[in-house]
Amino acid sequence: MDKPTCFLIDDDEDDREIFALALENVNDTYNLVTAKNGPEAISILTNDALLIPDYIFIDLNMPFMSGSDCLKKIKEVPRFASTPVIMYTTSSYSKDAEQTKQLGATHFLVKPPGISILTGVLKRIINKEELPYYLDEAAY
Amino acid sequence: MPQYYNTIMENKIAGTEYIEDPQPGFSTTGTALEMLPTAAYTCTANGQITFYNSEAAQLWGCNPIIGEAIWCGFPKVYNHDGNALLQDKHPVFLALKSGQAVKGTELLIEQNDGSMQTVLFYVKPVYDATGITGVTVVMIDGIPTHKDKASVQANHLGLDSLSDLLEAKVEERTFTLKKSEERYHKMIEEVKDYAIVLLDVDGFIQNWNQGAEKIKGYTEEEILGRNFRIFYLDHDRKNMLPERLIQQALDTGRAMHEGWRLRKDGTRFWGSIVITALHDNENNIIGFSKVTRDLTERKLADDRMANYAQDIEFRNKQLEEYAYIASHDLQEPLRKIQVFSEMLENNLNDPAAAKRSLDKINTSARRMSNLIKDVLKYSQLSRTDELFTEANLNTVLETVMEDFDLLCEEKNIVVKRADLPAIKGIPIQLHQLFSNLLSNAIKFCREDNALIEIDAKPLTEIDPDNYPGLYSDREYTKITFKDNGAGFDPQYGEQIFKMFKRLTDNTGTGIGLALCKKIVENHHGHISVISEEGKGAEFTIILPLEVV
Repeated sequence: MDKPTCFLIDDDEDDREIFALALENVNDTYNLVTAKNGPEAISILTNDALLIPDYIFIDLNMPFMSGSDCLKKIKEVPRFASTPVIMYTTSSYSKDAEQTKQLGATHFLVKPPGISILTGVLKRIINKEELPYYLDEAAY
Repeated sequence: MPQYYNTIMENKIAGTEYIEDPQPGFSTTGTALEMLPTAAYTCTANGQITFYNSEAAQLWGCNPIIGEAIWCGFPKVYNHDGNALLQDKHPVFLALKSGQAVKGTELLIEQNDGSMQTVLFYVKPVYDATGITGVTVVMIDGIPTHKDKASVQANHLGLDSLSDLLEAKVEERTFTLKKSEERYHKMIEEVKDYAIVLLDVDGFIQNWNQGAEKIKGYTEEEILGRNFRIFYLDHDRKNMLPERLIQQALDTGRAMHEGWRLRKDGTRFWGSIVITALHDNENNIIGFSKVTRDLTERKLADDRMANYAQDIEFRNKQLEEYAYIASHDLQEPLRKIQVFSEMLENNLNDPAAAKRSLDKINTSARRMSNLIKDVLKYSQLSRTDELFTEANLNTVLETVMEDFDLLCEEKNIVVKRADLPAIKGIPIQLHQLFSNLLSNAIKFCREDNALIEIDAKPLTEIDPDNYPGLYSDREYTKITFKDNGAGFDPQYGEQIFKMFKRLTDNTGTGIGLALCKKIVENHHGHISVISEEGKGAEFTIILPLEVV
């Protein structure tokens, strides 16, 4: 069986690095694929038929295509219809959380202020623990 | 055309009660004719007898049936020379046909008993609005062949008194109509709050009241005969607005419109107008009435209200933006400081890794500081009239370029610039505007042959549909900042003016172009951009020359 895969779409280089470190702490067998923006992600996901990530993480505030639009596009592709998509963002704006929930996101994860906290949250997500939709410091 | 016809038309124009066509006064005339000591009768245009007096019956020797018998009551009529008179030479026929009065045609008639009589015929046609409606005929008999002059004269006197009576009647009727017309004219004339103007079919002014003089400033002598186009602004005239309104009134009976109009002294007023087509009896359009109200006060109040509403909306949007900044943009560097501090703590024994974390912390802190400064700058951009002053854009641009001289030299960028005009503006904001646009162009310039062109052109014709918020009749300058750098996908054209919208990496705070937009809006101008990926970008700023 292939290694499990996470797909992260984030324009912030630091955040991609932080995420990679946290994921490695959770399980170093995990495969991480990243994209810098929405159009690039869509292009990767639709051109590589063999890439079916176990989890997709999308930053909300990105140039070119917003995280919500990117989520919408991914949900339109049949083979990703049941893939868990987690919005991964600095914004704690409740309007964004509500909108992405409507669009079919699994969780709305507010970027935590530390790698250890992020590691903990990722572990619980991957272990399929029961978690609320909105994940901020109260829920980590 | 008879005199009173005009009067009737004008009364109809005014929309007052229609005055009946004056009928030939048969009944009144009848009574008068009855009393006449000589034969007289009346008949219609077709020659049917409508009235005759007893003298006439006696002269004819019969009582013709009213409404049936025709004009000639005598079976046999001869010329003075004794030849039988042809019907088409009969004075009554001639008068009916020509519409001209016949005075004293002498004819011989043969009465029932075979005796001959000389009769003088006087025929006077009667008119109404449609033309001749009949004739009044007076026959003077008892004239011996040698002509008893005294008798003829006596009969003439009778005829004179009849025509005097008729004339008096006509005069009385004319007087009444004239009075009514005068009253109506006074009514229109003395209305002061509405300009009421009569236009001919081509829009030329025929009539002018006090209200028109008060609202538009022209006296009656100055304006009569001029076309009503004169009240319209240049661009409305160019767009044929007056002609279109006239056409609409022609097609549908009336046209309504509101807009700025010109007074004689060149100032404007907000006019609300109604143009109504006027028709004659045959339903032909003979002109237009145009009623104008000066609603400038109301318009200004409406505009003020709209401005307040816009201002409140703008402030609400700003509050929302600040909330978003607090929740996102300011949190981002803060969070990174926290994350990299944690990493630093874990890497205290690895100097290289520790140094890297420290650098990240510093970068984030600097970014946060810049963000706070930019947000402050944005919130402090205000628009108050006191800030507006003469701003020479050449001077503004030169000062800005001094700041970028070194950078341009370093990056080998050629900056070409045209002469810029002087405008009424807020110099410090215009400095910020040029500075942001120039730094943007430099940031995305290409590595070789980088070129930035700054150009300015006067803009006199503005289509308000393309530039909402601009006025079609103001003078503007159109300034372009064009580079041959990276450019961007045209679909992001409008987004780049929004706060924190960054199309590229996260250098820069994402406020620069939002700031430009706000500055341009403070000056009541317009900013737009066209670009194509890899083909550079061109920013266009339109600024009014005078304070709006």
